[in-house]
Amino acid sequence: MNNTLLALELLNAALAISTKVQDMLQKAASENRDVTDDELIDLKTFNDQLENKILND
Amino acid sequence: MNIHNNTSAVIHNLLTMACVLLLTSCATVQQLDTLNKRMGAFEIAYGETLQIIDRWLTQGMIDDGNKATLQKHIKKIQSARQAFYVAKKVNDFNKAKDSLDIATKSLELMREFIKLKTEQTQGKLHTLNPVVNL
Repeated sequence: MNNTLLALELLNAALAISTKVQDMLQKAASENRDVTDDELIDLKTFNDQLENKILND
Repeated sequence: MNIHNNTSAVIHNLLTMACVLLLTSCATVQQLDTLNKRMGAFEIAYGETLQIIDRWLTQGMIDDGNKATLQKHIKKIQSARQAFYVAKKVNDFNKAKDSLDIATKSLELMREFIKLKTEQTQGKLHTLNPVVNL
């Protein structure tokens, strides 16, 4: 993989972030509620696992 | 070389657009900004960044120096995230907000570091070294 592709991967990640945030906020808005603690914990749990994996690499 | 510079400039502009889109999405979709919404957006951004780092590590594309720097950034974010969730649990919302601000700033710094290292290696695509210096 070359560096242009690395940069494109970062760009794709930025776009993926934007889309996912929009989805999360729209879902909450359509149900007239806040982002729930359960949704937050799901995201947190996923990130905790990745975080520990990278730190212990 | 010009092609790489142009590509880099285009990517730069698109990244900026994506960031603006991310920030405006919070303003346009939601009437109220809440701690959970902000933390949710942060966790999504953090997760996407971690997935890229994990993939590059798995593929052996990050040298030891850059890996140590990234791990340092991640540890800072880890501490701030833990402080956020503890503060939220005991309803200390000011502390939770401060912790989220620290985590967000640390994530921004880490993403800047990744972007900088990626840009620095633009134009070095034909070197024989298979390890990309992030």
